[in-house]
Amino acid sequence: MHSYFAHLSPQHRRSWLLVVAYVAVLLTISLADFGANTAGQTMFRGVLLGMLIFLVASGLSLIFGLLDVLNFAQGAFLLIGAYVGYDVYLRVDGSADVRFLAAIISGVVFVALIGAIMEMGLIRPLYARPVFQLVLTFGLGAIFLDLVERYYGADPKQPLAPPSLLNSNFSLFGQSLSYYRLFIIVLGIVMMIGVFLLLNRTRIGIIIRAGVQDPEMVQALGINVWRVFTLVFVLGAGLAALGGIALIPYQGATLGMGNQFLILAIVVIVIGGMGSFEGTAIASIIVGLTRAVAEQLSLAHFNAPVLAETSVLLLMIAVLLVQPNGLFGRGE
Amino acid sequence: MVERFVFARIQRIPDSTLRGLAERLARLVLENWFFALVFVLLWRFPYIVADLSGSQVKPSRPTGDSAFWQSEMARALTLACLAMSYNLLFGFSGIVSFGHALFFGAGGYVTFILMGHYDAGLQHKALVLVLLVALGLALFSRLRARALVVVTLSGVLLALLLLPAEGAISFWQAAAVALLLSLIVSLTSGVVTLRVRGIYFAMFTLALAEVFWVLAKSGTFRSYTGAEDGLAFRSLLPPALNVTPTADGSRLTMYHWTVVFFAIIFLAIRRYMSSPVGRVMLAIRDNEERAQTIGYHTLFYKVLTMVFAGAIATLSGLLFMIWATDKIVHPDTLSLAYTVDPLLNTLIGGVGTLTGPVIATLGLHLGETYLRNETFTLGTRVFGLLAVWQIIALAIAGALVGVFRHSLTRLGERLIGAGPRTPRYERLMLAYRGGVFVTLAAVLLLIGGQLRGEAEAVYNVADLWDLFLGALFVVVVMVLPHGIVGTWNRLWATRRLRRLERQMRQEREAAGASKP
Repeated sequence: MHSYFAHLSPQHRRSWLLVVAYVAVLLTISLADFGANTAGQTMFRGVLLGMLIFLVASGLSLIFGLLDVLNFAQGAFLLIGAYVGYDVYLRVDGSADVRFLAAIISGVVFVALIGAIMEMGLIRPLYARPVFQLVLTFGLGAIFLDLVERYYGADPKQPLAPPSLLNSNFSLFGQSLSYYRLFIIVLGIVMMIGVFLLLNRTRIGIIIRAGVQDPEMVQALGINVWRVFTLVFVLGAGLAALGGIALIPYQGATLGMGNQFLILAIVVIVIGGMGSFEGTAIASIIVGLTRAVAEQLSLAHFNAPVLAETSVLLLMIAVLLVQPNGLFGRGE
Repeated sequence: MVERFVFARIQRIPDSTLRGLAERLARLVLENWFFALVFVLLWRFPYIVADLSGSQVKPSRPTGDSAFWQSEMARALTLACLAMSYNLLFGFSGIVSFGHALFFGAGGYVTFILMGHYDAGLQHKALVLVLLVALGLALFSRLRARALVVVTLSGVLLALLLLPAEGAISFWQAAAVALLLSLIVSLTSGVVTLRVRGIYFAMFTLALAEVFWVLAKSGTFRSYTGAEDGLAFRSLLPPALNVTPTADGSRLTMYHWTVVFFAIIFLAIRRYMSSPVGRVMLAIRDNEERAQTIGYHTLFYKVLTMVFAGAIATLSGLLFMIWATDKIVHPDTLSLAYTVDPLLNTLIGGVGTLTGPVIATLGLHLGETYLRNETFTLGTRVFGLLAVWQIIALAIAGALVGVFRHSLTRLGERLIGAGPRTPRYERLMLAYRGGVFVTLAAVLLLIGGQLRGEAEAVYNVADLWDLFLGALFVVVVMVLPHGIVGTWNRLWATRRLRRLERQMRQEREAAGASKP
């Protein structure tokens, strides 16, 4: 870790300082305004939201970094994952643990399969035309949303019982919380570390990072970049689906959740710097915290959720004005 | 043919001034006859519909096909103006903005909020605002852009002084202020953000528009914006603009004004793109760094285009809302939907073509209106080709062919016999690929027919439209990368090239034959 900080570029060092200062300001505001207990709860909620956003945003960031595709269908991946997982959960017999596991596996595999077909069949012919990819994924996202609505109906689905292991409560900051929330945070951290290790400690990770830098050079070295592209796309789709399924016991499944998280994820990768994994991870948590604090603030003072809904976007505009490539982005 | 004949006749005119005049006139007519024809058709559109459907242009009761289609056509024309302004950014300048809806919605909101809540103190506040913006821009902008900023802002200041110092504000004044405000917003956001390239700029504009959408929807400003219900403006609209489909003919007049508005916007964009500034814009689209190296201040031109496009979007948005039947400004006019709509229309019609966005918008909007008023049963197969499963089956078949194209090619070579890429081989291969696709699609359709029990279900097109649009979109992106008009233009260009080549070959051969 020490070597990491020693080798930072000046810009990234400044970004780290900005991040730390910003979080400190958020913490101070919430401590001064809500008192210790509520501030703690708000922070906890913020981290939780941040982890959920991370699951969607990491896939988006990986895909953008390597493939230069801003995948607007990422929200639809989350949506499909959630609905398919929900369906499987209701159909499988057995205890809640078995059902939940079945939901996770089937949802992730199904969405990964969709991702694979989409990348190989539709996106691959369009690598030479970036704007069209954007538009194509946008259209596909609309189609997926429509299909899910057609197949599962427009009514929101109620939250389901989490696995028995996590179905008890614990007390934190004077509030009783389900262990499932802790599980989501742990899941997010595990995925963060997992993807970090995958990118930094494995052969495939080296190829992916090299591909982010210069795909043609990687190809010239005799590596089949197309296969790596597909793998990354599938990985991103699977992560989004995992996020969707993790949401089911927390807030159920609604048709709007895909787009809601897509916008947050886009904000995250813009703030973090496109294609930078550390940036995505840090920005997810910042965005989650901002959103939670703004929600609490508008609840306490404004009697309307304007601040909560605009806070994240305003943060993004501010970051873009200060640092046009995002906090941890590569220079032009 | 016609051209050669006409110009041959003109050459025979003895008087030189008369000949010059005739030549100019002939050129004007010959180059623009298509647009003139379209204009006349649009102008006569209500009468044509009335003749076809047996309804009245100015019905005594507020019903009838002609009256209905007048408003639909007018709305489609305003949306076409929006698409053209988006094309000005996206197709002609290479600026990808995701916040164009901000300008579209702002027209209605600013105008009617001003009319509802005007007081004399507003002038001073507006002056302070303008001065603040000027200060900010002076800090942010660079040299050449500063000239643009100064000119625009002094114009805005002058216009603000014309506002009434007391009493109510009229519709036209409010609309002018809305236009000025949109100028300021596009100028500010342009100067500050256009230095940010590509995807970051798109995201910035997206965030900006989303912020205003959220503000318009939120209950905090309900007394101004009407929150989610929208801003009702029926009582604010001047009677001349309050179109009613009755015998007084106000709707018909308004329709004709809309057609004129559309024509003016179209000609303005055409003129802009053929001006020197437009040429620079094309250069910037193709390669911004090269344009910079040649010595153009690219930011200046980009901001100028953005201001122009923003102004057009504001005006067409205002006109679109006036044509709304419920006379309410909905917050959705600020949402991403009204950015995506012109984007799609531009892509489907043809990026960087003048007529493409117009054709796509008119076709899709009027088609949607027509289809939404009908219901279709799958059993009758009228709408069968567009039904859900068929689309899915075609998409899956296409995706499968795409995924397995290498193994398919190998299999095909085993069937046909691998060989040099002769025309015969290419033909056979094409037939083989098409055959595989058709077979796959047919099998999938059969399975679908077996699986789907509700074959006789009545489908309302309103349910299917979004799916159809999405599918159309994917098909256009995959198959027609240049859009409808772009592909058409390319086809013609290739044909003309072929003919020219043939002509040259013949001439060469003739020259060779005449030599001993």
